[in-house]
Order: sequence, then structure tokens, then C-alpha cells
Amino acid sequence: MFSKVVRPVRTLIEAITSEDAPQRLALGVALGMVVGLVPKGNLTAVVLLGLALSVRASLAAVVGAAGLFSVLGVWLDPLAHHLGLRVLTQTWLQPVGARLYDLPLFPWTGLNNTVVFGSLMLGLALFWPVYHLTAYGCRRWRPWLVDRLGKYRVREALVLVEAAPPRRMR
Amino acid sequence: MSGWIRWSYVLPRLAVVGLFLGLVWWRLDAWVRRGLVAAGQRVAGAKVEIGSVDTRVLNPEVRLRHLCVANRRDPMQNLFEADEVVLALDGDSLLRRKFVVRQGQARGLRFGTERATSGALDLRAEWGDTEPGGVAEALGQPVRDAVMRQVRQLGELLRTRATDQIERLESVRVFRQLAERWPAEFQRLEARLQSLRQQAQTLRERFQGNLDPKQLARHPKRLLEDPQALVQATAEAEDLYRQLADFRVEVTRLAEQLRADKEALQKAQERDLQSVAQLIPPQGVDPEGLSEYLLGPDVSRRVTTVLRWVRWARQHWPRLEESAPTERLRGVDVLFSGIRKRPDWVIEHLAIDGQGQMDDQVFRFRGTAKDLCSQPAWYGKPATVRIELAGNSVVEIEARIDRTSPSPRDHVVVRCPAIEQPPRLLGDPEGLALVVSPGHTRLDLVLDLAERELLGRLELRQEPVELVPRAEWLAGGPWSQELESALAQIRHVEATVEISGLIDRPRWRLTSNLGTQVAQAVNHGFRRLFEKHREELLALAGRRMADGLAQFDAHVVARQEQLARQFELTSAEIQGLRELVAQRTPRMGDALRDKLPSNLRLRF
Repeated sequence: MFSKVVRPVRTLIEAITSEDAPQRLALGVALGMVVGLVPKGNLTAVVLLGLALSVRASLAAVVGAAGLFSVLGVWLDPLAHHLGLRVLTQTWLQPVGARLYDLPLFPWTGLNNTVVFGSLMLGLALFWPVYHLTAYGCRRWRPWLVDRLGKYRVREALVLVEAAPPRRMR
Repeated sequence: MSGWIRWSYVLPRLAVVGLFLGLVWWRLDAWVRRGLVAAGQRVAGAKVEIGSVDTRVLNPEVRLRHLCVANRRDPMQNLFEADEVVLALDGDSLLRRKFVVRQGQARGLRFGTERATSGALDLRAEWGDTEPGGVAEALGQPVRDAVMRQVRQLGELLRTRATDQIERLESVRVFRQLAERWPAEFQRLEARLQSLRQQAQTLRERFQGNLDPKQLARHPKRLLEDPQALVQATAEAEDLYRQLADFRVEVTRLAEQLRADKEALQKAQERDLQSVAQLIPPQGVDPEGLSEYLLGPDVSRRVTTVLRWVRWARQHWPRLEESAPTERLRGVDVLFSGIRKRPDWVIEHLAIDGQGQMDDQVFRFRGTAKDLCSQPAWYGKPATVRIELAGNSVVEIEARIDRTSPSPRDHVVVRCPAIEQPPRLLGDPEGLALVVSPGHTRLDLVLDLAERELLGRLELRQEPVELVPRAEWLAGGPWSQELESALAQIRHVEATVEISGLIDRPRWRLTSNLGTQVAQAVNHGFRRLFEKHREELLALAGRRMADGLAQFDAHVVARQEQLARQFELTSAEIQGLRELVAQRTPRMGDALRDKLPSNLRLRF
């Protein structure tokens, strides 16, 4: 029971302290942000989630960022709606949109919805900034974090706790 | 990093996705059920319950068992329930997120069934549509009441005996006044004469008591013992004489009054005879009113039933375009230009069967519903429902429900080729009623509704038919025979009802051959009886007046003679008194002169 709580923490620490941690972590946060911002219940959200699970990205970062940005996404709905409405009503987009909308499955993506489209655009626009900022932060703080974790043997402690046999209830 | 895709990482996750798809496959029915319940509740505004759902994906089909949709206006009742609903969906439309049912079937439909638990979703929910007032229970009731009154008045008029009507004549009233006034007048005169006589007799006694001739001869001076009384008695005697003269004048005036009264009586009698002779029979019964009176309740019940169903269907017809957007899909769905708007769901063809109840009669029905959809304005075609009811009689109902424009328009056609009719009573036996023989009636009803405005026509025809009149007040009378012979000519009954007004306040106009022919018979019979009645009244009035006048004359003559006799007696009494006073007065003078001083005697 306790190991289930400990394992994600240990995984996150390993992700942060591993050699290629900054890229994986940054990709996970950026993808999680896009997944979190887009409203659920449509094919777009499913595809984004599938993509996030398929690439070499930190799962813990994806889940954490998706949860965080799902909450933020509700607050950003008005902005996403205005953005989506502005783009979707552009004249040049109408023939393309009409053709896409007529394709099978496309209506299930919800991309003709102002909030879905707007939040996707917002997510894509923020993808690289979030990716680079997260990667930069990781590189900057990783040595300090590795040093502290090594000094206090946190990683070993977590492994031991996780490996300890569960206590039997009498 | 050997590449962006980490296959060792992806493959296990693909396995997870496969498991997820398996889970979807396994739980699909439950999810579809949950989705349908949520969508149905949004549309119905009340609880939707589905017993089980069976979904096929490859050849898309949804099979629902034990579907119950609660009535949002009466949560303890179901709007409808169905044993089984099978919907074959169009796969291509499904990929485009449109639910198009090419062929559907709803079996075991029942309406208005009771629920064990409340079907209310949220007591605070406001639907905006208020329950309009009930369809008028008594269509045409005022007209029927008016005819009932007319028929009763005619009956009462004929039932009223001529002897009762005589009492209402002017001459009878005048005669009654005279018969009361003149005896009293005679009595008053006789009493007055009696009083005069008594006064005269009293006075005579006083004179005779005080002025006895023998005593007077012997003692003349006693006359002066009470001179004041003597003077007063003399004055009273003179007054009596004057009163007698006045009485004679009054008797002369009364004779003139008697002549005037008799003239007034004769004039009243002439006027009465004239008015009775000119009596116009009442208007009679209005044919349209009579049709309404006889057929109204029956036709009203049928029209009201249909209007109730139409109103019920309208009230519960889903207002899908008003339904709130789902929480999951925020924002606005932009429809790219060039794309034809299509409704979210369409039922192109739905075969239905089930059972219902109307006027305490359970009936089975089956039919089809076509082009039901969520956004009729986008679909562009009105929904049509065709139902055939199979009970004691076959009923075909066809409804076109057009919600393609902002103002709802409905067209309803009801056809009953042969409604089995038991023997029935039209009208009210207290007024006028007809017993109709059993047979078959054909009914055709066409209704058009635009918003709440109603326009329609109902046609009823029963042939052959036999009619027998029934009215308590004309049983066995000549009018009854007249009516029976007229009704024997009627071989069919047909009625046409023009319906207009509003759905919750309908108006109608009923015309029928029955009203026309019965009114003709009733009015003809009534006129004949009225003529006879008038002649009887005239004869009776003449006789009554002649007898009355003769009695009055005899009475007046007798009382006049009696008064004359009394007058003579009183006159003689007063005359005698007057002579006595005149005879005694000179002696009184002598006696008074002797009592005067000698120097004054010469003056008397």
C-alpha cells in the first residue's frame, strides 16, 4: 500500500536525476499542458493523450501537468473561446474546414468547437516556450538536486521503503 | 536518445490500448445506456430509465428493453413506456457524429402508465411552458342551455291552462277591482244613511221629550227652561237636512262613476279580446340551436378528446433546440460555410405498436413515425405520424407535425369509417330527447393548428337511423304524435362541426339535418297547438266577461234599490223632524216674548 504512494515519487526523482532528464521532463510537461488545456470528451483529447503516452516523455510529468492545466484550462476558457472563434470564422479557413468536417471521424474531434480549437492553439503556441523553460530549469537545478538527494540518500531510502514487505494485519 | 519513438516503450502501451479497447467493447452497452439516459433526460426533462441495452458496432444497432420516460408534469406517471425499442443506425452518419436511424421499431408502447417512484429530475427546473387551461369541457354548453330553456318554455306555455291565463287579462283585473270597490262603496253609503237616520231619530226624541204638545199647551213657559239646547237642536236638525241634500248629490255622482267604470271595463275587455286574437306564437326552436342541443354533448366529447390528445402531444413534443449545451463541450460549435446544417439525431422511420386508453376503453394501435429529429428547422421536413387504432371500431390518425419554422404548425386527420354505436339518447328527457337506434357512424375530422390557432372540420354521418322522441311533458300529447311522424321521415343523421378559436379555448358551430327537421316538426306542432289554445282562450275570456258583467250589474242594481229604500226612509225621518221643528218654533217665540221687558216685546 505504502509502496504505491512511494513509487511515483521515486519515479519522478529518477526522471529528474537521470542523464537525459531535462528533455524527457520538459516534453512530458509540455505535452501534459496541451492535454490538460484541451477539453475532454472528444477525439482530439484522446489523440493527444495517446501521443503523450507514446513518445519518450516522463509519464509523471505528463500526468502532473495534465492535471494542473485541466484546472487552469477552465479559467482560460473565455480566452480560448475568443481565440478559437477568431480563427474558425476566418474566410480563408471555411473551404478547408468544410472539407475536413465532411470527413469521417472529424466531427468527433470537436475541432469546430471554439474552446477545443482555441485551447489546442493556445497549447501548441505555449508548447515550445514551456518545453524550453522546463528544460532550462531542469539543467539549472539538477546538479543541486542530485547533490542534495545523494547527500541525504533519499533515493536509497525510497527504494528500501518500496522493497520492504507489507506488514500483515493480525 | 535513439529516436523520438521508443518502441520498447510504445509496444506495451499499445497492449494497454488494446486492453482499453477490449474494456470499451465490454462496457459499451453500459456507456451507451448512460449516454442515452443523459440525452433522453435532457430532452424529456424527467427521468429516463432503460432496463437493458444491447449495442452492435459493426452493423450499428441499439436495442433498448423496458424503456420508461417519466412525465415531467406528473412525475408519478410515465409519459410513455416501451417493451422494446430497436434502432438501426447509419454507420456513415455515426462516423460524422450524427445519429440517423434508418429503420426503428418501438414495441409495446403505452402512454400515461403509473410509476412506483417519482420521475422528477430537479424540482427547481423551469421549463417555461405553463400548462394552458383545460380544453373547454362543455363546448356549446350555453347554446344547449338556451335551447333547453326554449323547449321548456314552449312546454310550459302549452301546459298552462286557459283558465290560468285568463287571470292575467286586463279586463279580469279591472273587474276584480270593481267587484272589490263597489260593494265597499255601497256599504259606506248605507252606513252613512243609517247614521243620518239615527241622528234624526235621536233629535226627534229630544224634541219630543222637551216639547211634548200636551205639556207645552199646559205649561208654555217650560220651553224656556233650556233655550240653548233648543237652539242647538234646531241647528242640528238643519244640519241633518243639509247632509241629506249632500248625500243626494253624492248618489248622483256615484251613478256617473258607475257608468265610467263600466265603460272602462268594456274597453279593457275589448283590448283583451284584441290582444288574445293578435297573440303571436313564440319564435319556436332555432334549428342550429336544436342541433347543438341534441348532438352537442356527443360531438363535444369526441372533439374534446381529440383536442386533448393534440394538446398533450404538443406539450410533450421535445423542445430540443432549447436544450442546454453539454457541460463537456464548452464554447460554440462553428459551422463552416458551405456545410448543410444537419440535426444531431434523426429517426427516418419508426414502426410503433402498443396500447392506449380512451374514454375507459382500451385499444391497441400500430403505425409509423417518420422524420423525427432534434432540429426540424435544419432537417427541413415535418414529422409525420400515422396510427391505426384497432378496438371496437377502426380509427386512422394521421398527424403532420411541422416545426421547420419558428411557428409550430400541425395538421391532424382522424378517420373512423364505421364507429359502432349502441342505442343512445340525444338531448334531455326533461326538455326534449330523441332515442337513436343502434348503427354505424362515420367520422372524419381535419384539424389545422398554427401556433395556438385552431381551424378544423368534423363530419359525422349515421345511416340508416330511426328516431323516437322522448319528453316527459309531451308524452301522449298531440305534439308528440306530430313529432313522431316528422322524425319517421328522417333516415340519416349527419352533422358538420366547424372548429375555430384557440387550442385551449376552441369555438365551434354545429349544423345538422337533425336540428332542422326536428325544429320544423316541433315548431309546426307548436303553432298548431298554439292556435287551438288561443281560440280556447278567446272563448273562455268572452264567457268569463259576460258572466262577470251580468253578475256585477245584478249586484249593483240590488244594492242601488236597497240604498234607495234606505234613502227614502232617512229622508222621511229628517223631513218629519224638520216639520216638527217648524211647528214648535212659533210657540217658542211667544214664550220668549213674554219673558222680555215690555219695551222690547214690540220688536219680536
